Amino acid sequence: MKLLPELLVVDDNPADVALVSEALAGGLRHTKINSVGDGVEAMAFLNRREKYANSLRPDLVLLDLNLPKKDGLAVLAAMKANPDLRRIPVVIFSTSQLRKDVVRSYEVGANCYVRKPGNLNEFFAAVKSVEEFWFNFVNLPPRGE
Amino acid sequence: MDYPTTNVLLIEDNPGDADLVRLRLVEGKSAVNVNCVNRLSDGLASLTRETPTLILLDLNLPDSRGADTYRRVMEHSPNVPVVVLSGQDDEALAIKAVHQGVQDYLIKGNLSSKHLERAIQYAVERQGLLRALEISQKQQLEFKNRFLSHVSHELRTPLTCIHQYVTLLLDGLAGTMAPEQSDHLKTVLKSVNQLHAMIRDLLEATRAESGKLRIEPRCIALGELVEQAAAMLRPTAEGKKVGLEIGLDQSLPLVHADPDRVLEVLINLLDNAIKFTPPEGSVMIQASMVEADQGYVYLSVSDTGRGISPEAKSLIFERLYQDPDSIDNNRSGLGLGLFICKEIVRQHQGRIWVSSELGQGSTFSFTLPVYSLAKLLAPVITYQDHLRPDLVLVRVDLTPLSNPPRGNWKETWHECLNLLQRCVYLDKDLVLPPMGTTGATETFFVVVSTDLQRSGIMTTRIREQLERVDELKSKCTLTITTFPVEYARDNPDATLEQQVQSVAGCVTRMILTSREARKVSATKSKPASNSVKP
Repeated sequence: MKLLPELLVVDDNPADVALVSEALAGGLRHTKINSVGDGVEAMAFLNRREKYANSLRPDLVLLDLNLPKKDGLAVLAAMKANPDLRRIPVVIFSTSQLRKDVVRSYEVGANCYVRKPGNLNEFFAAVKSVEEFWFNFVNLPPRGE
Repeated sequence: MDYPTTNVLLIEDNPGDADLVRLRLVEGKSAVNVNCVNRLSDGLASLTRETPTLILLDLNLPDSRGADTYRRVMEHSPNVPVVVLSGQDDEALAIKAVHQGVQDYLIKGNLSSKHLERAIQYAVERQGLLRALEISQKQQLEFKNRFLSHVSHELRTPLTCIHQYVTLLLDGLAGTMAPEQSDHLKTVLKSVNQLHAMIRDLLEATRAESGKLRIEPRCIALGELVEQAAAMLRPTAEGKKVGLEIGLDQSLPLVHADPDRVLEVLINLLDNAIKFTPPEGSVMIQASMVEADQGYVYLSVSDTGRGISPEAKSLIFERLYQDPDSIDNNRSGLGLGLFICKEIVRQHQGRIWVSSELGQGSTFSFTLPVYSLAKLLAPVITYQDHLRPDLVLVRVDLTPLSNPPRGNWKETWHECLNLLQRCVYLDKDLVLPPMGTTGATETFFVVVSTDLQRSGIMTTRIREQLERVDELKSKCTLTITTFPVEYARDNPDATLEQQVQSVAGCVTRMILTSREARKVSATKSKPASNSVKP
């Protein structure tokens, strides 16, 4: 018995969420994908509030920057300020190529910044490499301790 | 003959002597670089930067005198040859230095360049030889260990096959056996088992020697282990008419140890004790705390056997040691048992020793480190220098439907632990390290910073998540129980540290009582009280 690694996708565009799922569905690796559509929902999920009371702390967060209610940087900052959440690696996945977005993300504590490609094949490739890299090559923090 | 350049580090504080040595070195035929310092500290600093071919060392320096000087140099750079520069009046000290590993000494008064050159060459050669010898010895030891480990593995395979077929015959699966045939086969089986045990010991000892003996420490209650070991050896004791008693301190703390390994040590010591105790004698196994050493639990196995001579006492933990006066000559085993015990205890950072007098019996004792729950709990149950107001102990029991459990049970519980870790809040809850268990049920404890009412949210999450795993659902039943942690809060003067200690003590007691209760309820086959139903 091996528990699947859990990924939280925070993205307000349902099409992008669907694409991420599709990109990972065909692979050899099995990853459990959870998704939420805005920053407030993301925090509710991570803090296991209300309808997310039974959710698990994810192993990795794929975070868009432009989000309704609470933007990606605010979510990132809140995560890094929370001792229960700050060790979860956060991958910023955004179409923005603005210098200030990239710099701010790293300043606030993003673990990497991946540009969301417009082209479908490139999008698939990016998501697959993120999965391969973080769940295969990286030593993730132990889930407890 | 052409020699490569020799780099000499000269540590000498007398400028006259230093110049003379330098002059003699330069006069010689071979190429020499001299680096001269006048304090030991400077010399050691230079050794850290670069390794010279040889060190010329005056023993009396401003910052170090006498034997201390060469000891410190050799400790710092054990592989660089040292030649001591000695005055006429302290030749005795120089000779002592040579006994302790310095390569040579020279009297400062009558140095000739030829003399000096030769001394340096010899010292370098000898040091090289010594080093080669050391390496080859290490390689031989490694080779021997690898060989032994390989051989024992290979021996095991055919032996397992023999064991299987003998049991098959004995079970009558290949036709009925005449009583005499079956008796003979039983003798075969006994020998096979003995051989098995010896090979296992050999493997363990080889592992221990090459540092591969691994322990997986958990948080364990010693009382249960002691009782388990005693229960396993009781038939042997009864067969020999030797009494077997258990003495357990009330309120023993939990220890940080590998339950399987500790059981191995206990069984080994008990087995020995029974073996060397005459009929009508008795063997006692005890676990207790010692006032002066609160960090450890003391365990001991004492017997009323014939005792151990003082000479044997110092050898008894060495590998392959066998009692030369052993009465029963058909000794079984290789004399590795106590050696393995010693290594296991050492890996736990404990001590093992024996006290005995001939004719008075012997007592083997060892120590195991106490599990410091307080240290683990402190960051979780305190917040801004205060104790969190409410704490709940959640207990999760996984009882496999079949015994022994199907599939890879170890991996299953490992994943459960993993899942639990992801259900809690890392900054205010703590999944306690897995407890060593004696039964089939796997129990996890979680300390949760919340009140009893709200702990329901956590237990529901845990239940929901565990039940979501199909493999668990099909393999075992799940019980979750919650208990409020009611520690004494009546002392307003207690420091935070004392309060944490008091909580840790309380949690330990609760864990121990709840495990006791389970044992009772298991025999009555009643579910635990206060169960949270989904």
